[in-house]
Amino acid sequence: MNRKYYIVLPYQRKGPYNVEELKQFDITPETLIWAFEFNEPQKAKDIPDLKVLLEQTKVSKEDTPPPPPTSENNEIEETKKTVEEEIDIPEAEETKKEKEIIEQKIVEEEKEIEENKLEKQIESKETIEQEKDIQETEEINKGKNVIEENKLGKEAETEKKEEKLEDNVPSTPTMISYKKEDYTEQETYKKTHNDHHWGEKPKDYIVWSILSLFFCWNIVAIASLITGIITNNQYKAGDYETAKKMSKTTLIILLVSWGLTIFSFIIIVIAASQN
Amino acid sequence: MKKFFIFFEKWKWVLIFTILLIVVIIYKFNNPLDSEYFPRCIFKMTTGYDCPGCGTQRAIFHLLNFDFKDALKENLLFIALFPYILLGATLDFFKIKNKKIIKLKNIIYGNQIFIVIAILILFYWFFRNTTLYHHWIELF
Repeated sequence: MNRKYYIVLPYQRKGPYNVEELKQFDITPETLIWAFEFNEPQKAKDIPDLKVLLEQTKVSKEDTPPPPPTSENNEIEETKKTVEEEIDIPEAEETKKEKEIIEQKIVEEEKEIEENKLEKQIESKETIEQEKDIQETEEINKGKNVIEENKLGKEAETEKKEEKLEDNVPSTPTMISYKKEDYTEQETYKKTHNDHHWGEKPKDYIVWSILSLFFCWNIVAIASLITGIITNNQYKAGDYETAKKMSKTTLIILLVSWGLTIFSFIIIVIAASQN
Repeated sequence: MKKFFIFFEKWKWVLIFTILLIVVIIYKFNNPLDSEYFPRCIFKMTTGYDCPGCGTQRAIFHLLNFDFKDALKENLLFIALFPYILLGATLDFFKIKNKKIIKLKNIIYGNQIFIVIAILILFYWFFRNTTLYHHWIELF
């Protein structure tokens, strides 16, 4: 009963708290909670120790008048959490809500594919119409570079899309035209408030670190293997920011090890040529 | 920097394949034991013991000339893990959207198997420096 719990929020986790300390917060059965014994964060209703706490909150709610209907934003947050859990937990209960979410996801994926196609078309047109569309291509390139720099977080993409939503009116035929009808209210919310996402899994470059173990400077590569395993663990625990940081450090260590191999190779070649 | 990123995206596959081709040609026609132009293991140069990566270059040379026996003698663990590494490296380059494949990938390239591989590598590091291993490998 002395187990310590963490409350899992989209980009951080609060804690540690005892069961009695958790009473301060209004915990719903849907909130994600993690302890060191769990592999993944779980919903509060699935944890047997917290059943007493949830029942108490129910009683208190019955005494007070029922709260006003939740705003759309909160609903969307809840749906997002369920969506992200689907990826990890294969055997989820198939309710009507989840089916709706799957349909929404399919629609999003199709739109992403269409946007990618449009971007590719623009790339091909750059070579032909360079003189005409200098300004436009510059704008598009800015966006692309930002995306490439922030591949782990998709924050930059959303910023770009916001700008385009504001512009809205297609100035020239080559620009991508975003109609307002394409975005329902929920989707615009999702794309503007991307901070609330659980986030994609940051890359653990473990396959590459295993490969670099078999070449010289393998002592450096062991560090990258360890950091890669830590990224996976942190992502499972729900600590998204540290997972991101650790994945960056793995990349840096890998690059250092490969840079050292190339450096030593050059030195050996020079030494051999002098003899 | 902007132009460099676009250039890299366009010519990514060409660059990778040319580098791979050059490496394959170098390692097919040159035995690392005979020539002085190949990088050497720093752990072996300083301590005299073999590291888990020692012998990979010779193993690649034998593999490209289809001598599997000699390749296994040079570095057993690398040949055993080679298909696993190749599959993971190729999967890393593609953006996968199929959910079943993502699940499979998360299982095969998951933490539990990585820890097993790390323990295997450490064990191999110790075991290949014993005289027992040297006797055992020459039986084949």
